[in-house]
Order: sequence, then C-alpha cells, then structure tokens
Amino acid sequence: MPTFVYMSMCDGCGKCVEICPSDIMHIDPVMRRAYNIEPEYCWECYSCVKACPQNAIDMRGYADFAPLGHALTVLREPEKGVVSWKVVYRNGETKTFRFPIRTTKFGSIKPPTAYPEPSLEALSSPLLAHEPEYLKVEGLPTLHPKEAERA
Amino acid sequence: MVLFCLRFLGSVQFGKVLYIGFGYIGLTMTAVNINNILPPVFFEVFVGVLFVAMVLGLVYDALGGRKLAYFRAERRMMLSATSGGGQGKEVGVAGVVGRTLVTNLATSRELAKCGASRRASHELMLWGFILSVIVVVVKVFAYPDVSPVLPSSVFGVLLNLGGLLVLVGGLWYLWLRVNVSHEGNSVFRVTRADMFILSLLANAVLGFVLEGADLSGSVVATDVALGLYLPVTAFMFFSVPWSKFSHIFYKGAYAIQREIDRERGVSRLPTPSEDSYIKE
Repeated sequence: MPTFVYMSMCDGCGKCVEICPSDIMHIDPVMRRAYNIEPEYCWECYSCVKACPQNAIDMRGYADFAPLGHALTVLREPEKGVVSWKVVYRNGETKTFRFPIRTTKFGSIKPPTAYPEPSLEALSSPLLAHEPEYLKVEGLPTLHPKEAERA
Repeated sequence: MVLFCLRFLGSVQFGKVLYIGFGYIGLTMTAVNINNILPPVFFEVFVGVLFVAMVLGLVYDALGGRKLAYFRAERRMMLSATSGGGQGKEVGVAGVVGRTLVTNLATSRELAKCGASRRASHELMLWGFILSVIVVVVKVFAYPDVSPVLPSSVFGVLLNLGGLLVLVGGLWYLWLRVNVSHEGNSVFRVTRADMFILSLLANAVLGFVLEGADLSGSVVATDVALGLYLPVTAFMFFSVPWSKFSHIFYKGAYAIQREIDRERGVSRLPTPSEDSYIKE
C-alpha cells in the first residue's frame, strides 16, 4: 500500500524526504509540498507516515480489503511510545489496532556517534562496537580462539 | 544614485549617525515629490487593480486549478473516516476564527513542528509583509498628499521596518527551503515554488532603492526606480494563480477548518491512546 500526501495538510517540512529509505518522497517544485514520486517503488515501510508531524500522509489501501470509501490511517504518539492504526471499511465498520513501539523515551538512547571511537585492538575482539555496554548487559559470553576454531 | 551614495557616505564621514545621516539627506536635499511624476490617483487605482487581480487570481486558481474540488474531496474523505462524523455539534465559528488567527496564524504555530528557524523566518516575512501592505494602503488612500515619505516620518519608519523584516526573513528562508536543506539542492536553484518569495524580496529591495532615489533628489533616478518597483509589485499580485501567494489564504482557511473539525470531533485519525508505554 503506497503512501500519498494530502497537500492541504502538508507544510513541506521535509521530514518524510529525509526519512524515506527508497528516496521517493520529494518536494513538488510548484507548490513546495511533499509527494510520492513513484508509488510502485514504495517499500511500504510507512516511515514517512509516522514521521509526518502534520499527519498529512496516508496509505492507499489495496482493493482486496479496503475498496471504495475505505480509509487507513495511523497516529504516532512518541510521547506515549505507541502507534495506532485505524481501518475504516466501506460498510462503515471500523477497526483500531494499537501497538506499543518502545518503552524508553525518544532521544534517550545514545546514538553510536555519542560513544568514544573504538581502538584498533577492538578489531580482533569478537564483540561488536560498544558491546557489551551498548546492550546494557555486564558481559557477553565469548569463545576462546581455539574453541572457536574447533567449533 | 551615485550622488546619493556619496552624500550619504559624506554625512557618515562627518560624524553623523547612520540613521540621522539618512534623514539628513532627505531634509537638506530636495527629495523628489513623486506626486509630480505620478498623481496620487494613479497609486489609488494601482492598489485597487492589484487587489482585484489578487482576488480574481485566487478565484481562478481555486476553480480552474481545481483546488476547491480537491478540498471538497478531502472533506468527504475526512468525514467518511470519522466515526460518528462529528455531526450535530454546534461550534461558534466566529470564536474559532478569532482564536485561530491569534494563537495559530499570527504566530505561525503550525510551523513549530518544522523547526524554530523556519518558523522564525516565516514570522519575519509574514509580519513584514502585513506591515508593509497596511502602511501602503493607509498612505495611498488616507494620506495621498504625503510625498516624499521621509525615513524619519511614521510612514517611513514603518515601511522601512516592514521591508527590513521581509528582507531578513526572506533571505534566511532561502537557505531553509526544504529542497535545499533536505534534498541537498543548490541554494541558487530556482523553481516555480520560489516565484513568490523572490518577487517579495525583489519588491522589498526595490522599495529601498526607490526610497534612496527619491531622497537623492534625482528625478531621473526616481523615474527609473519607480519603473522597476511598480512592475515588480504588479507581478507579485498578478502571478497569484501560478505562485505561492495563494498559500496565505489557503493555509489560513485550512487552519480555521481544522480548528472547527477539532471542536466537532472530526478526525480521520485513530483515537489517541490512553496508556503510555514509556517505562523509563
């Protein structure tokens, strides 16, 4: 279900342009509003739908479940850590689905760039960068190189 | 213009403060009386024509550009997606309009989610434009005989302030344009969406040029400056159907509609969650 933009709600802030992994959300050169330049290439990840601060982006529902007069909308509430979806069928039936998406506050998790740069010796370690502190555990089980070879 | 610049620099060189120097020229040199070049009635008719062109352009865009049809289709979708439709609730439209104008449109609140810089630049342009329009309309219709408009007069101070706000906000906005800041295009890449802001900036710049030419006392320079200023101003108002000028009205009307919808409980979105899942 590719996305589309309601032009009257869009402010042209560009958040969907930034977040789209398929690079198909662009800015209209006439009215400077966002639009999906190639719906067939949409990954349907809905990152733009959730990122839009004006809730100006919706999905086109497929004809097999939401034809003619349907609506499929999403509300992102980052301050509550929840995303809600609403499906309105053409007979008026409405279903709402609510999904907790995280338990930590937005912005509370340090990005990789906030950690000190690993040393060169870390390349020989089986641990990934910033493990184990990045995973918030005291330590990870590791194999001795000889045990690893045998395994 | 050269004479004006030399005199201006000269006044600064002799220890005058910048602003006093500007007023000094206007007072000691004989500024051009624009009413001798174009009579006051010309400017009254000019402003009237611009207003009519703006209204006709807006109507043409709303009907011919199918903006109204699109808006109606969106309304139908919005109402069909609303559980219960929010029907039957009485809303005081006048109160909503007043509240929206004061708390939303006057402060560009909608742009708060787009970033503080964009909101601030929009505020500068918005209030600079409004101030300039009000001053020009009052000057043309209520005080048509006041010429020249000296920088030290109330009209001059307000006009210069309006032009300055537009210039600062507009130039700042050029670097904040979403296709520049988010799509990485060159700041000098111009599209049709830039027509309005560029004509607005050109209008502000040529307004200062006209003021300088007027105060320099050169009739030729004032003629040339008027010959540039009037067509650019006319272009801004005549290009309404093809530029972003119309967003002033569309976004304002839509903000009011959205407030009314909020009061009536009309929303296509899911109902907000009552629970918070944030634990830390």
